[in-house]
Amino acid sequence: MRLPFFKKDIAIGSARSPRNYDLGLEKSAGSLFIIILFALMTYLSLLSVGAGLWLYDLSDRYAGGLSHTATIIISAQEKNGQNISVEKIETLSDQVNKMMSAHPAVSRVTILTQTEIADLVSPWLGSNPELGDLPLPRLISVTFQPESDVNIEALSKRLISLHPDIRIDTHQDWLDRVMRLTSTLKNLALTIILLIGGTTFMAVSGAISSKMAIHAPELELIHLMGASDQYLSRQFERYAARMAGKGIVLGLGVMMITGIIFWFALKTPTNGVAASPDLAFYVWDGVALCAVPLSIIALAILSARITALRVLAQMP
Amino acid sequence: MIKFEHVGLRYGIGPEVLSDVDFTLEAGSFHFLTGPSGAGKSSLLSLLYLGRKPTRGIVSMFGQNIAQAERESLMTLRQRIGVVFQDFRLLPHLSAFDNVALPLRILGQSETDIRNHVAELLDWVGLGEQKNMLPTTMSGGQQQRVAIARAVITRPRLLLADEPTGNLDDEIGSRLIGLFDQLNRMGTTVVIATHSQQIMDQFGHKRLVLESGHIRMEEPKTWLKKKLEGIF
Repeated sequence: MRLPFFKKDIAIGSARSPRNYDLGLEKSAGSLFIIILFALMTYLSLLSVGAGLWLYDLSDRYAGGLSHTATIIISAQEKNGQNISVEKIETLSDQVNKMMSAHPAVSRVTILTQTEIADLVSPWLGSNPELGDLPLPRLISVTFQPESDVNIEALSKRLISLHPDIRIDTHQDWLDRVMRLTSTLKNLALTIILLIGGTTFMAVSGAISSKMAIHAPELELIHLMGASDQYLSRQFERYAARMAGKGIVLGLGVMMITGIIFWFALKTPTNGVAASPDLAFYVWDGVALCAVPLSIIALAILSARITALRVLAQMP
Repeated sequence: MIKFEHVGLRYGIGPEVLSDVDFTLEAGSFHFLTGPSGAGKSSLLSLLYLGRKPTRGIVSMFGQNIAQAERESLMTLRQRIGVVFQDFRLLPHLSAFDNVALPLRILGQSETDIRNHVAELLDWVGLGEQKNMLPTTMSGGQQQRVAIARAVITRPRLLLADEPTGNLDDEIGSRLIGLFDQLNRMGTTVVIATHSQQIMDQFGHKRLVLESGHIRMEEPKTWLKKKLEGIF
């Protein structure tokens, strides 16, 4: 069974079979260059889209995980550098727990154990057992009701009234900075995709123009036989689509190799600290990645069509 | 059917290669176009096959003024014209069969019809066995026959040929002009540019004589006229 694409070609008379066209476009010089160009465009586009999707997912997870939460930190040291006793910290933890649990906007209060805190700092300090002697702050995670409007300033004052070295961190500053960074990177990825799209369009246009110049006598002959511009441009569109298809297969192959290398690099621990960024893959990510080759083919066909029709319009 | 009125043609800023060309070709007529080399025969043919537009004057074909015709109309007009070029202009990567089939494919005919008609015509011009050969592997005479078959395959209303028998022996040349004559009897208007006095005498059609860009019409010389010219 032939693809509809070929059926249409046969219907308008510009092809008799998938491989047999009036103009010997694929046999003339420059086809390999176009294939490599498409492969490069595919590779770079997939990298940019992949990076954009990852950043989107990352910022979404950060925003979702940290919104409506706060961390109350009971410092292990006073401002003058004096250590606060473990007993005192335990007492303050209980007081904070009671205060927060009684708050109408709070849905959950979790006091992190010393082991959990040690796990949190282990990527930076390692899991040396002697770390148990270090004065570690006590962390209390608080989750607010989603619709609640909490006055953080008033809450902070109430906590300070228990002890001046207790503070509440809503992560907002940090989250804002991360969001700004990811937003900039997402915009950068989008700009790169647009640049790749523009470059692909221009490159295909240039390649088609040069193909038309090479085949000018044959084009003129078929034109003089009464072929419509559509009939002739269709041959260049199909040529561009075939070249794009070949380039995309090559680009996808290189991308898969890159992906495998990337995956192994992330899964290999360095100095006992795992570098896994907890990658997730959703259906929409797949759709977006599949849209890349399809967009490249569509762009190639569009560019070939516009260029061919523009050049053909100059014929008498 | 075809009318040229005060037609002039120049290339770029050069001198006119055709000047004040006036003639009318009735539908179903047969004319030889003759004249010395460089007289403008190929230029005149290019105007007839709508390969270019005149610099001045009016060219009317099939009732349409070419200068005012829409692009789509020109495309339709070209489909009614068959041309045999002096240099054949065959597509080198297509077989003899596909070269001849090309005009039918442009017209959107079915592959079954194309297979039947092209095979029949190639047999007629003596190339039935060579239908799958590429033009580059064919002799000049064979290429010329492919070019002629391609020009007549659609039974055009106007058939133009630029020195169509130049590379053929007398027998095949006469046979092919006979094919043009046959098409002419079926209603096709034929214009053949040729230097061959023998062919012109043999078929005895009117002549368009081009000299230094100017054209004049000559009646065919009859057997009696030729005898009298010989006596006096």
